[in-house]
Amino acid sequence: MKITVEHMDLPENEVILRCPALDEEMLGVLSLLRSGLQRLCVWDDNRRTTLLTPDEVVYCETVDDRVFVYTGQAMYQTALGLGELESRYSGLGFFRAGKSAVVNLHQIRSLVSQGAGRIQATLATGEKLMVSRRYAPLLRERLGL
Amino acid sequence: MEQFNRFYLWGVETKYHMGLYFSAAVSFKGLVSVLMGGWTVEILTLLEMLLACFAFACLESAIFPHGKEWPKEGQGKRVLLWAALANLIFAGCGWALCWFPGIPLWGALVLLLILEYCLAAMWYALRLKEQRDTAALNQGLRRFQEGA
Repeated sequence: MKITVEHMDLPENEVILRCPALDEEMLGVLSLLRSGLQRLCVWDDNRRTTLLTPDEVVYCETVDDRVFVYTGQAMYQTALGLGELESRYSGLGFFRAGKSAVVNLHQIRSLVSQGAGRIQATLATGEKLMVSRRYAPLLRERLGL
Repeated sequence: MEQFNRFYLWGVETKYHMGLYFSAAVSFKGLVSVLMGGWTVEILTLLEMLLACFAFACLESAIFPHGKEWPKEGQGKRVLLWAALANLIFAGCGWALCWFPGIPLWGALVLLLILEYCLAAMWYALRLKEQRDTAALNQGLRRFQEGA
C-alpha cells in the first residue's frame, strides 16, 4: 500500500482512500480511522461496512484468525483483535470471557456458577458462553464480588 | 522444575482431601469403639485408614482433576464412579481389614447408610455453594448493568 501525506492549507484534516476495491487491508485502515469515534467499524459477508455502537454488540470471537462480531440480528467481521476490542470498549462493558471470546456484559441475561470455577453466561440472544476458569475471577472482580 | 511444582501442588491438594476423609474415618472408628465399650484405636488400623484415604484422594483427583475444568458431558458418570469407589474403598476396607470388630450386621448397615449420606451431603454442599454463587453473580450483574 502506498502512503502519501500532503501538506495543504485546509480548514480541517482530510483522509482520502483510493483503492480499486475494499479489500481486508483497506477495511482495516478504515476501521482504524473510524475507531477514533466510539463506534466499531465492521463489515458483513458482502463487504458492506457498518458502524456499530458498542451496546449493539453481544459478543465477539476469533475463528481461524478472524474476529467475528455478533449482534442480536447479524454477524460481522472486524479488523480489531480481541485484545483491542477489550481494551477499547472495556469501559462500555466489554469483557474478555476466554482466549477466543469477548462478551458485552450489558448483553448477558444471566450467569450460572459451574464446577471448577467456571461461569456460564446466557446471552441476550439465548446463546450460552462459558467464562473460563482463568477469566472467571476477573469477571467476579468486574461485578464487584 | 515445572513438573515438580505441579506434582507438589497436586500433593498438597490431595493431602488436604486425604486429611478430610481420614478425620471422618477416625471419628467414626472412635465413636463406634466407644459405643462398643472400647477406648482405644490400634495404630495399625489408623495406618490402614490413612492409606485407604490416600488411595481414595488419589483416585478422586484422577476423576476430578484439581484446578482443571471438568467437562459437563459425562459428569454424572464421574460422580457415580466416585461414589462407587468411595463404597469400594471405605466399605471394602472396613470389612476386609476388620476396622470395626464385633459390630453386628445392623450396625454395619447403619455405618454404610451413614457413608452414603455423607457422600450425598458432600454433593449437596457443592450444589448449594453453586446456587449461592449463582445468586451472587446475577445480583452483581444486575448492579453492573443498572449502574452503567
